[in-house]
This record gives sequence, structure tokens and C-alpha cells, in this order.
Amino acid sequence: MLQPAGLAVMVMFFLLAQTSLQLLRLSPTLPGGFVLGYASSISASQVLEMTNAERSQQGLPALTVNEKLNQAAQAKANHMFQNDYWAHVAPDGTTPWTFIRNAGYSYGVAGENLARDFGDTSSMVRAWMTSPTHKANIVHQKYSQTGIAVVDGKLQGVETTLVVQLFGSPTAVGARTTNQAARSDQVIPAEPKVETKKEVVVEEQPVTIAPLEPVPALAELSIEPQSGNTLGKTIISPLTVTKVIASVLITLLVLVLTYDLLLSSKRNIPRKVGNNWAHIGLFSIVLLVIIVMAQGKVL
Amino acid sequence: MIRLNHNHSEHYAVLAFILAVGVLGLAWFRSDISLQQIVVWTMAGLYVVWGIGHHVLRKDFTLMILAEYILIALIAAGSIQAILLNR
Repeated sequence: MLQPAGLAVMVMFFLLAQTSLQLLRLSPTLPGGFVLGYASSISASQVLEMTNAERSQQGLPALTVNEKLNQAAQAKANHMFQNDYWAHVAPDGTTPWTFIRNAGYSYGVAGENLARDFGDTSSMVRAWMTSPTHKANIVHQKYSQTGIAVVDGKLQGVETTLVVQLFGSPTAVGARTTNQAARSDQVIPAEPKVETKKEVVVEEQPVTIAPLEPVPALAELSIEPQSGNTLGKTIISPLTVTKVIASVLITLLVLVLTYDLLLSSKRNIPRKVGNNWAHIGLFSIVLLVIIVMAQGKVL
Repeated sequence: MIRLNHNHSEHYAVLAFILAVGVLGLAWFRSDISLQQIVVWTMAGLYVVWGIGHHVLRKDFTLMILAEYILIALIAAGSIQAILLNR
């Protein structure tokens, strides 16, 4: 295996796997209902499912999908791609709340979680749950609704999947009138990473609230179709496939090199081969880079 | 007469420097895939050069060893390149 011929076979195998992946991108539907996702296997339905699973563990009620929040999340994602930025507040000063209000959603409390470069939903939600401020949004007891956008595109020179999850609670849940004007433009960032908006009582006067619109089921939502968001099909991410193949291949080589090193030193076999220590060092660095590089970012 | 001391620890220090600069380069250019690819392949090229130098100084350099270093560098750089292209 460590002879040049064996290594050449490994190179050929890796090249073949990568060429197959690139060819499959041209015709991404695989037998058995599998779909090769463009950059990730993240789907809005999975984000909702996992968000609610986290809330359930905290004894909180599940969030329902609101179409207006979905539209706001989609608008935010489009705005980020069009203006090429990665932030809660756009360079032109547009805040997340602008998108929510423009979508016609009247809220008392709202929040936003962002993620990019993740290959799958579970690692993304795990990253959010690891960050205290993002976790605070996911398990916030005042939120009752959410809107999710999963959009593929090129951001800051990198092909990526951008995920925008907006959280909100309408100004009056289950009531047509209230004596609280709960909506406020005051933005109180909990931490630099997450902007949240706290419910603030402005003045006590009766305010007529329009009846709440029925919340549509997720399947009825008018989210623009995205390649990484194909409902009802098992999606395979090329990034995940590549990561698995590369990690397995390199781990195997490190193990074989280590075994060879131990065996040759134990039996004191003189050989004219490359330096195993150097190869192990190089592959360890590569393995580290693969693990770190394949991780996404949250904001 | 000047006598060069080809201590192996010096060889490994040079290799560690090459790998460290490569990792830092990847981190530094994390928002530019083209530059990251240049860093990866440069690191792979320098690894081969290091291998040649190391074995020439040890006086055990052969073409088979050269082939081994080239293939190892191809696997290492190809793995990172594949991740970069599929991100």
C-alpha cells in the first residue's frame, strides 16, 4: 500500500470519486430517490424539526412556521447575496427588523440566527446550540413563530449555503385588542453575534390588532425552490461525501504509515523509502484542515 | 573548512515551518478559494522539495522515493482541493 504503485491506486481512486461527483452534479437525481445537493443537505423542514426538538427538550412549545417570517428570511438572504455581506445589519444600515416589517409581520419580540458553509442541518443546529446567544434565540420562551430561508449562492467569493432563521412573536396572540403597544423599534443586541428585540411597553392605550393570519403548513409555503432544500427526498451533500472519502483515505494512510514505522523500527529493517514521520505529519495537518475547513460559521 | 551539520532535527524544523506557513496561509485567505488553492499546491510542492533535499542529504535518494513524495503530496493537496471545490 505504501509502495508508489499502491499510492498511485489511491490517487486514481480519489480522482475517480471526485470526477463521479462532478458528473453527478450535471444529473443530480440518483436512483432510489436520492438527490445530490449543490453544496449542502440543509433543508428548512429539518431546521424547523431540530429547532423544535431543542425547544421540546427545554419543555417549551414548538415554533410554528409563519409565511411572512419566511418571506422576511428569504428577503434577508437575497439582500446578503446581492450586497455581498455577512452580518445582521447590512452595510447600508438595514436591520433584520426592516425585512420583518416589510413582510407585514407585526411583532413584539423578534430575533435572527444566521449560518453559512454548513454541509448538513444537524451540525449547523449544533453550532447554534453551542453558542449561548444563538441558543438563547432557539429556546426563547417568548417566541412562538419562525421563518426559515436556505439559499445557495456566492457570498464574498465563496459558493455557500446561507441559512437565515427569524424568530418572532406577533404583537397580540389570540386577542384582537390589547392595552399594550408592544411593538418597538428599539434594538437591544444581547451580544455582538445576535440582535434581539425586547418587548417594550410604550404606552397604555387600546390598539386594534388585525386578526392573525392562519399559519400555513410548511409544505404550502412559497419559499423559492432551492437545490439544497428538496422536500421529501434524501439529499446527499457532495461536501459531506468528499469529506468522508478524504478523511477515511487519510486516516487509513496514517494508520498504515504508523504500523509500518513501528514494524520497521522493531525489526530493525533497513529500507530505502520516504520518511514516514514526515508523511504522518503532513497527513495529520491535512486531516485537521479538512475538519476545520468543512465547518460552517454562525452569526 | 566549513562542514555542514545535516542534523535531522533541522530538517524537521524546516518541514514544520512549511506546514505551519501553509496552515496559516489557508486560514489567512479563508475567503478566497483561488488563493487557498495556490497555498495548498505550493505547500505540496515544497513538501516534495523538502523530501528531495532530506533524502539527498541523507544520501539515500532514489526515483522511487521521489515518486512516493509526489504521490503523497498529490493525495494531501488533492484532498484539501476537493473540499475547497465542494464547499
